[in-house]
Amino acid sequence: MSTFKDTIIDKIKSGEVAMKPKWYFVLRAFLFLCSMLFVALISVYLLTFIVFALHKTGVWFTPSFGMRGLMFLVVSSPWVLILVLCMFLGLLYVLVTHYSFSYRKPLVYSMIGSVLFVIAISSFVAQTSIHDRVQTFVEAHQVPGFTTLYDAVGKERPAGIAVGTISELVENGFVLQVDGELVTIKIGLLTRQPTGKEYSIGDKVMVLGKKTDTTMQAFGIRHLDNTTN
Amino acid sequence: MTDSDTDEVITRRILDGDIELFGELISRYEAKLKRYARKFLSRPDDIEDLVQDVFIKAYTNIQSFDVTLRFSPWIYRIAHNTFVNELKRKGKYGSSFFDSETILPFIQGDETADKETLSDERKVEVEALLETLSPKYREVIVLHYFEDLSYLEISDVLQISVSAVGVRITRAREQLKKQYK
Repeated sequence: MSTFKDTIIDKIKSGEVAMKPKWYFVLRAFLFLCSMLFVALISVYLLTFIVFALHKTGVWFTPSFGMRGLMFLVVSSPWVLILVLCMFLGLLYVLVTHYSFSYRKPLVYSMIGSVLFVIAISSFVAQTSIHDRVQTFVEAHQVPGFTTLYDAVGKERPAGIAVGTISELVENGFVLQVDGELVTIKIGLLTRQPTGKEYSIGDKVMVLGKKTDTTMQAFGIRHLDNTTN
Repeated sequence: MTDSDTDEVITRRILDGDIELFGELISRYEAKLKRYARKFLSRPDDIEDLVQDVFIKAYTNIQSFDVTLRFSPWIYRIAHNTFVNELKRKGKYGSSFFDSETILPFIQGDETADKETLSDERKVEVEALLETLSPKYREVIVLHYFEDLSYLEISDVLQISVSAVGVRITRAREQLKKQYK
């Protein structure tokens, strides 16, 4: 019998070296899985919240007005939240690469897979009114952190955009009721109207343009469905 | 227990309480792991301690071993981590954040087509040139040609893709050929 083997076996027999129990590994695997699910859920929450915020402010629809609208979307996007989302997606990718189904393939597949997974789940969640309900709840109960976050969605609309309900039709435009304020929208020859030029009182619309006092010269106007404020 | 009992059968019996059988696993892997350490770490002076550490970690964590899988990649994985930590401690292991070999997909040759059994003479020649390779290339050559691990097993040991294993082996061979000329 070799001395090398004896040394190790002696340590085992004397109790100097002991097996970690099975439950330790089961618990560790369970906690690892939970943390992965938690990171995935946070990623889904952030992505759906970003889309929700862009819908609420009307910024989501501006690319339909062409390059200027697209630039407006880029400039007005919540980049801090997007950065935080990227960090969580990176963390999710790192956690996923722990499993053999991931590391046995080139890691770029895991990166793409993690992003697609979050997008797929988010697209289902986005069909629900979960953020509307959370917003109602946090406004009623003043939940620290969340109230500030959801308040910003409703109140901090980027300059140059107006979302509201048409209250009156006037020559070459209409009057839009925006959060209690009345804004006269001027429609010109160059105004882009991808959802049509017919407007009625009560229509919900989003307008991108240049605002002076209570008048806005529209660069683009788009009808919105009733779920968007 | 017979010599024909597989490592997995022995491990199952250790898990059932027959801890004396861990000595059999030591007998089977002592020489292999010492050879792996010697070639990967380039003549370290503390092989005995390092390999002993590998067996102690293996025993401590043996309850995490899935007996439906092969034992060999599992213990080589522990050895890999131990040896890499040793190289890092000595500042001889540079790891880059972006490693294109592991991140990007590559079209690799079929393993059976690439497999080239080294004669004992050729092994001596290759061994003499191993030190000229960086640790990440040296390790795949050691695991594939000296320890006879398949690409998939090396993939599990290093936790990198099977195609990355193929790319590393191909690049390591090219470097060895250049050195040989």
